[in-house]
Amino acid sequence: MADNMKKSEQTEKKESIITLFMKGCYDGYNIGVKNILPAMILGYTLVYILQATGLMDLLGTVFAPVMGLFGLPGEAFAVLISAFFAKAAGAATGANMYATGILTMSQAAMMLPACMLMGTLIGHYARIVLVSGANQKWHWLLILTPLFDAALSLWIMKILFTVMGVM
Amino acid sequence: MSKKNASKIQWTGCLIVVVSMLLSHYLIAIPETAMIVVASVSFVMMAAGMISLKIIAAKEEKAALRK
Repeated sequence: MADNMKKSEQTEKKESIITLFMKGCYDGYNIGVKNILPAMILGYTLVYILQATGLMDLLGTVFAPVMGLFGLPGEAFAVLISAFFAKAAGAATGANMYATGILTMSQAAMMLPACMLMGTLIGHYARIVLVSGANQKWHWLLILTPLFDAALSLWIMKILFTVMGVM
Repeated sequence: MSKKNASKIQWTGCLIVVVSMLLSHYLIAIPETAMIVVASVSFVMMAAGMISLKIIAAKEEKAALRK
């Protein structure tokens, strides 16, 4: 037992700072290239499709009353649509909409927590809810909870930005 | 679908949209309708690949939990 503990301590000590740093770099590269990059391209593609087909204007009109509750234009709903696929896609869509002048900087910033809270909804549903074997009766509630959290975060950000005088 | 195939589909979608946008911006004038079709197809490919990867990861995690 004591020998095993000594061996594990030795293997732990063997990893130098450089090795750990390189490991971190490799992980960061993997996350950046394999997860974030495709999601960002997806976000930009979605904005392009919506703008080119004219659906962005339709989104703006249809969702204006709902998004207006949070002090956002109806077009901002596209950010939530792409966040549905991946968090990075939502962030990229918000950045693209800011770059094209659809959203202001504060509006794009206030959407970020919502993207983080409701982002990758399908992925998390598959990886957490289905894996955990939660009662099927409550699956709808588990899906609705992040959406409710996202709406709540938009409210909080709106209040925060209003107090700060940004909006 | 295997992890490799899902990844291939996702990356093919990414490549198609990036290459077509670069081509239309720098080399040839691709009609907007064609660009919309290309972008839509690649969007579907990217979304399908991304969701498949998540589902495969979920299955792997479930299998690991059972062990």
